[in-house]
Amino acid sequence: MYGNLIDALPSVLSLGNLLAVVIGVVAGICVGALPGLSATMAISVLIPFTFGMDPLVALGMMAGIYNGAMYGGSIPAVLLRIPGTPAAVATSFDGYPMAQQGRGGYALQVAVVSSALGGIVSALVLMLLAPPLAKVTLLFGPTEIFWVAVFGMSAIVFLLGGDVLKGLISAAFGVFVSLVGADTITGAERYTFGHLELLDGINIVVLLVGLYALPPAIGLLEEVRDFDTENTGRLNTTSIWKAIPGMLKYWKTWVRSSIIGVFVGILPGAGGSMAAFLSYNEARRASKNPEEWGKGEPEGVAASETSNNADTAAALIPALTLGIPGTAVAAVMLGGLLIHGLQPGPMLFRDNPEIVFGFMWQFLFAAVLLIFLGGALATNSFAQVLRLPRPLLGAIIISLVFIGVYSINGRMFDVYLMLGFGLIGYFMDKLKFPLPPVVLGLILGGFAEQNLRLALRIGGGDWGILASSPTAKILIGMILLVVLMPLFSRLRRSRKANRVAG
Amino acid sequence: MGFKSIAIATALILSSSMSTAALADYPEKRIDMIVGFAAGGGTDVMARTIGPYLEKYLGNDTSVVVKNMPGASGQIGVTAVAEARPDGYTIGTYNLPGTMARTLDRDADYDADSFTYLANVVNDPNVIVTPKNSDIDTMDKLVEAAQKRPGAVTVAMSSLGGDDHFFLQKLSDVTDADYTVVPFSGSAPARSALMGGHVTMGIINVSEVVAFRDELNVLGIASEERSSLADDIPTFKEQGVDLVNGALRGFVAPANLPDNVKAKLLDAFQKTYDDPDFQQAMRRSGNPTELALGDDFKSLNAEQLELAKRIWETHPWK
Amino acid sequence: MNSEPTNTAAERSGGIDPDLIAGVVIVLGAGVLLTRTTDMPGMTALLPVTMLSALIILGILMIGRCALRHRRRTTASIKVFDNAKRFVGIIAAIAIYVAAVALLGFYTTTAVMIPVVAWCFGYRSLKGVLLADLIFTGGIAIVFVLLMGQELPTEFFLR
Repeated sequence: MYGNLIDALPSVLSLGNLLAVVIGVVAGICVGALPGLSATMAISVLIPFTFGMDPLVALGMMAGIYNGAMYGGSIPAVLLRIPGTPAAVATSFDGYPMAQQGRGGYALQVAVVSSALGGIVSALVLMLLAPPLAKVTLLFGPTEIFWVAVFGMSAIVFLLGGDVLKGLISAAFGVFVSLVGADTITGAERYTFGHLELLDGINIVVLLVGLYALPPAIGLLEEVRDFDTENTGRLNTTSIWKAIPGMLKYWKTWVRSSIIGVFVGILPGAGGSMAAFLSYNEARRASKNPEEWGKGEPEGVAASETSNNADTAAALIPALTLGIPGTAVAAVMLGGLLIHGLQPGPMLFRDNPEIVFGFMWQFLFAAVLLIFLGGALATNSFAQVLRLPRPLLGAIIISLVFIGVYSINGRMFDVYLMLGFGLIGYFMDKLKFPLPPVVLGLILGGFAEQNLRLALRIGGGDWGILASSPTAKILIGMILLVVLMPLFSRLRRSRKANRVAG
Repeated sequence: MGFKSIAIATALILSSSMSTAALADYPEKRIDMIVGFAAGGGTDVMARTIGPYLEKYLGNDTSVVVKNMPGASGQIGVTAVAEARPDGYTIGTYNLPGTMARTLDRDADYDADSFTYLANVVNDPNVIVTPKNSDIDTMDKLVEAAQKRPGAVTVAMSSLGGDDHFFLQKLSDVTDADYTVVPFSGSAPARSALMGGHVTMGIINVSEVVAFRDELNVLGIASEERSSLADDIPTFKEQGVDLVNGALRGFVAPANLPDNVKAKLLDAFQKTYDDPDFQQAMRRSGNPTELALGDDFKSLNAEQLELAKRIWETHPWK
Repeated sequence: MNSEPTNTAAERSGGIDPDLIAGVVIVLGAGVLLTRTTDMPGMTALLPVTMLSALIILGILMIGRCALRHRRRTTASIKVFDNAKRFVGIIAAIAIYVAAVALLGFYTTTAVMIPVVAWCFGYRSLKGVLLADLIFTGGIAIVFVLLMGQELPTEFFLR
């Protein structure tokens, strides 16, 4: 199998195929960086266009876009607090405060290096470990996936923000939104109000763009939004190569977040945003100064960006071997494979090794290219864009938001829906309801429900099935550990304090 | 939705004045082929594969452009076809039994009379699969297990109200046993759950199993004759179980298509189907072909609707 | 639960606490949606009912908290609109833009909207506005029409 890997290399190195990756990365960074446009949208627009193209050219572009967009999404997340992609939500937690402190350039450098590292790890895992990891994926039936979703939900606790009540309302709202559409088990309709467009549920991009991109655009036009373009526009960057040695102290976060990203990637349906939330959480938990997080801790940016890129190639492991994509973007990319007659499954590796392994190489190249293309060049030019006069920037974002949402399914309905979420988002923002729990609730709510119900069906209604497999038991143990650990440590601390006092 | 209807009305007025004149020279402009799924799905690949052949056999240097209108498992696209003007410049993909089943379990803005049936091109028979390490590796063992304890056999499939669900209902009738349905919203997740041994058996289509022959036991195929995609899989009929069922994919136009346009389209579909290059392209994309043209397709549709009705009345799934 | 920064100065005693309005809206909204779960099958309705009930309870808690705060004469310093007039103008502009895109087509509307909105909301440089308009709309047209062949809502004069 590793022989195939070497054999596939020459065709990848041909000029056309390399160029495809370069174009893809640049396009991906742009798409990610422009508020409103997402990787999902970019690849779904690209797919019909690639029909009749050489497969490696098409796939190379997609690999580039995927990697590029995962980093590109961090640019507006840092500079404007508008996550360019769903997975960049966690990046904005610390990235935006850094930009406010005039350290936006450093935040972006951390983001690009972390993204590239995550992407490289992910590509190597895809190249070297795809078949064994596909076996790991198979261990996760509905029961186990349900527990993973619950594990992800435990992160909500840390996202609630200062006001627990409002945080919980946000989370409940997110879960509720995830339930709109046809019930995945019976097909019974929930809150579709007779609209066919709602039957498949609400696309995360529609919600995200509405909640995160529209309110700032309104704020820009209101001319009151508190971002200081004077400050965030000037990035004060040193050369990225000089900045890297200073980042080496994040190595633990890089390693941990890469593992989390890869793990979440190989699970069907979870996605990059869950990877980013989880790894942000774990990094904060491991940190010596958790109270600094959310106020401009570069390690938070590193954690989020490493794992959302570590998720990219890993998400293709179940997609290529089993036909079950690990993320929404991977799902669209699977369409890109099918359109070239590449059916996922073990036969794919046997029948078309030069394409499959070539595709893996392209992922690796795309990740490496990120440092060169995503560094000074792209970052600085986008910082320039953000220096545009505010009313102009606001108008442009409104138009971009339209394009981004319309192009996913080519229909106006999604645009109207997005506008509705935009209004809700505007008021939530003003009333200090935290937005991240909404996103997490939407990602995990329906997902957890579906798998729980599938598990119960398999178990014939017996709740005991939830703890029946060894994998499930391990997961339950992990959840208990994560939820109870902070309680214990707090208890110990207060007891110690009592002893000191007494 | 006010804007939309005004927009549609304007579009209708503008275009109706232009194209009533000459239907004789059909086609004289581009033909939109509406696909109810996102680019890259099985139906989409079929549409894009057939497009160039239709262009070739319709002549007049026409172009066939695929338009994806995904959503509601194809219903949005098929509704758009039903509501389009019957001039031959809008045709669309059509999936059975799903499209007809939706007229029963949902409010649909179309019914069996809303279409001119052109050609059904793909017939993808159902197969029963079990995990590789399962003891149940023949139909006899499966039936025995299902009859021993009602509901003990869990069946992974893609969704309720689809071909796999109807097949299970037939199986349940024929074998006189109860099964527990586990709908995974997609064949690939169902297949993976099966490979991981989380369910007892699965019902998918033959095109979805050919790449996984080493990982799964295939107990039989629900077609009259063995499939050319995998001719070592015995049919259920050979095994003495009368089961024939599958997913059908074809093309329709809005109802009341002018006769000359219909004739021209049917002719083009027939010629496309007879083209060996087309057959090879379909095989490469994993689509088992079987042609039912015009009235044959219409009666096939009626048959499928009848089946869906029977099951909906006896075992409503929601 | 009153951990958020509160402002004791009753500087805006005239207005109603926005949290109160939000709480009422949440309770009413969730209540209305809850009535629509009655015709759903049991398992289908389970999670929606749970979530909506949770929203109602949380909403009531929030209203209660407002009442408490009101009695203690401490009001959270939340300013909803920095400029209500502008806000209404922006919402109207967005609504008109989206409606016009559906009616007249994407490129026509966008080419008009960007300079008008930028001008109305304070960017008064004719040259800058037109240049930005040309670059943006032209750029989108190049990418979507020439490179990708992707359709955005069609122009009225092309239909």
